[in-house]
Amino acid sequence: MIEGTVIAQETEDNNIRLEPHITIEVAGVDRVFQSENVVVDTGFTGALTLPESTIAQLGLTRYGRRPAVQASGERRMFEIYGALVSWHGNLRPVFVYLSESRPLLGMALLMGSRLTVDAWEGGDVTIEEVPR
Amino acid sequence: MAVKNDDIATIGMAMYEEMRAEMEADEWGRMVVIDVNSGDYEVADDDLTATMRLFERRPNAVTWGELVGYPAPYKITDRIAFKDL
Repeated sequence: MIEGTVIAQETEDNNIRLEPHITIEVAGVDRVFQSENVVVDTGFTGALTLPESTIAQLGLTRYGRRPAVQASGERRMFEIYGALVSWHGNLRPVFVYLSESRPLLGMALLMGSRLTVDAWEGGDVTIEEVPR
Repeated sequence: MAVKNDDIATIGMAMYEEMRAEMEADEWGRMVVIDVNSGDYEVADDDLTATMRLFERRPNAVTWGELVGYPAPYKITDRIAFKDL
């Protein structure tokens, strides 16, 4: 089971935004793992986003570019990289999307798992492997 | 000559346009990944599988991908910041 915490972020317009945070282990082909704190984002259909500096540190292999649609309908382009994520005791190959936002973990990585969020400040976040 | 970074999307989209009708007839909802240098491509149920298969044949591939029948292979929340590509 992967565990994390809900963190309350104050937005620029003084609202509170709750973000489920977890820490994952990510590596490139050399399998030297690095811990990354990520925000679970079920509105993102990819696996993981990381900023350019982290992608460079991990030495991830670039695979090309992909389009993505934003909620506004606008199509934008991502650089994609290959990485390994330690996930329920296995190494899971994923694509990482270069983005300078805080790292996000999306539905492609959650696929096959159960996500539970206690949606209050300090609440528990759990991601469990569910036998099917 | 290798495709320049700035041209990956333009060339990838042009290559996809050429095959779009055929893909939409036969491969709706599947992922097409194209090597923009060679024009070689792979179709699979997901991006990672198609891309890895293509790289087995084309280790130096630079890829573009489209989800057949959909506006884009990925959806993102507006919180994601982009480097302008």
